[in-house]
Amino acid sequence: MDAPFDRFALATVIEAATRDSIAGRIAVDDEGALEEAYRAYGPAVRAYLRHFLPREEVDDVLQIVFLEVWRSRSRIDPTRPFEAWLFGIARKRAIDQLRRSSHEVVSVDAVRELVGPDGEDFADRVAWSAELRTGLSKLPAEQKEAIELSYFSGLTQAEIADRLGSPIGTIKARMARGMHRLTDLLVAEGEPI
Amino acid sequence: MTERDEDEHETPDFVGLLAGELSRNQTVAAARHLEGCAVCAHKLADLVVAHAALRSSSRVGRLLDEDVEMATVHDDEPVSEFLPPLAPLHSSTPEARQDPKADEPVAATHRRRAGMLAAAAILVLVIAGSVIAVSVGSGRGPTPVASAALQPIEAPTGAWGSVSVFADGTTRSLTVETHRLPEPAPQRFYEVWLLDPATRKMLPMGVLSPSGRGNYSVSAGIMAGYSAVDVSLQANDGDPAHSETSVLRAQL
Repeated sequence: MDAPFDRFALATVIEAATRDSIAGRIAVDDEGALEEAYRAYGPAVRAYLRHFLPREEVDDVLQIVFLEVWRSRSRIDPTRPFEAWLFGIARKRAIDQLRRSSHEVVSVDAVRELVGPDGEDFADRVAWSAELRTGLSKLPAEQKEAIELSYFSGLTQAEIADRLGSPIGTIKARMARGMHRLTDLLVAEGEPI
Repeated sequence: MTERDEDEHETPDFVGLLAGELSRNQTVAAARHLEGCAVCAHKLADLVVAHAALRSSSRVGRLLDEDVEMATVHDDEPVSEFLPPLAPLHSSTPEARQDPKADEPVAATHRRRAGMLAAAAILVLVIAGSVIAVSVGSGRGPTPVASAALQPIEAPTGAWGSVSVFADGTTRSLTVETHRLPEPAPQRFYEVWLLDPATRKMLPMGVLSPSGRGNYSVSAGIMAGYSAVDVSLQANDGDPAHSETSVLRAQL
């Protein structure tokens, strides 16, 4: 069973360049880092925008978000989570787009989710999810695999052991070590920008 | 708790506890153990942030995935597996062109790799005539080998688009995305062509979906004979030839 979040997985791209290095390199005018950030986070930002905007407007706003990342690169603090900053921009540009557009039908629920504290919460959660994916990509493959099977495929530790042909004690140890490491990575990043 | 106790006591299965995999008795026993064991309480606290982030991510992923699935069901074509190319920093979308900051110069330092050389080429060529050729191979599946901006020819102001070419073995796949093309009149449609500007040789790739997007495939050998992509406005009159009304064109 495929993990439902796999379509938005950020890991494979980010493994080659850590989030910190992407943010830091954008901050020092590296256009290549912007391209990397687009490939890494673009799918998640696009999925986030599609939650609120008509499909035909999503890619325009997606481009605007990343252009704003570039234009605002002097404000990047590489010591803080890039994701929160990025999705904050995405949220603002989605609000702009909804205000600018004259949709015949706009989902009240979607607008409520986007505008106001609830919208900030949702953007934060998507950003946190992206941050988590970055953290997962830094784990050893066997720890990452066990954790993903548990949390994204819904398998129990016993089922994971069966699936991977490993003793259940090994799976418990992998998951515990991986989650300790994940906590370290997530807490170490500090407060959002 | 003494050091001896720490060494000898059995740590509960905290991962199983958080996942709800323990029995009632095991869960109650773990809770009682935590009340008196600072070491284990600390260990559990170390897992809580990761657990919360993972649960949150799982829910967010499902939510966003559901949106995509709904779009897949209701739209006339599946969601593109590929991102559209990142707009050139110095021309980009119409919105960006309206913003004077979008044309700010970029420092030429830190251009460390081939992709950066391609980006510099993009800047020059987009200004001159919008030619973009980048290679950003990921090593997995189809590899992007080129992309170009579709420029309006007989399209209304504001219409634009992009073409991305992906290589997968000897197959070349084109992803065409257009924006702000007006809806064609009844009995008219848009069609995508490969074009060799030197000889005017053209190869029809297919009708452009009303969504403004299309995916087409051709062999690498055939693709090599063409260097441009053309979008035409066609009449539904049975004539397979190009109408000679080109609305957008990209030079690869």
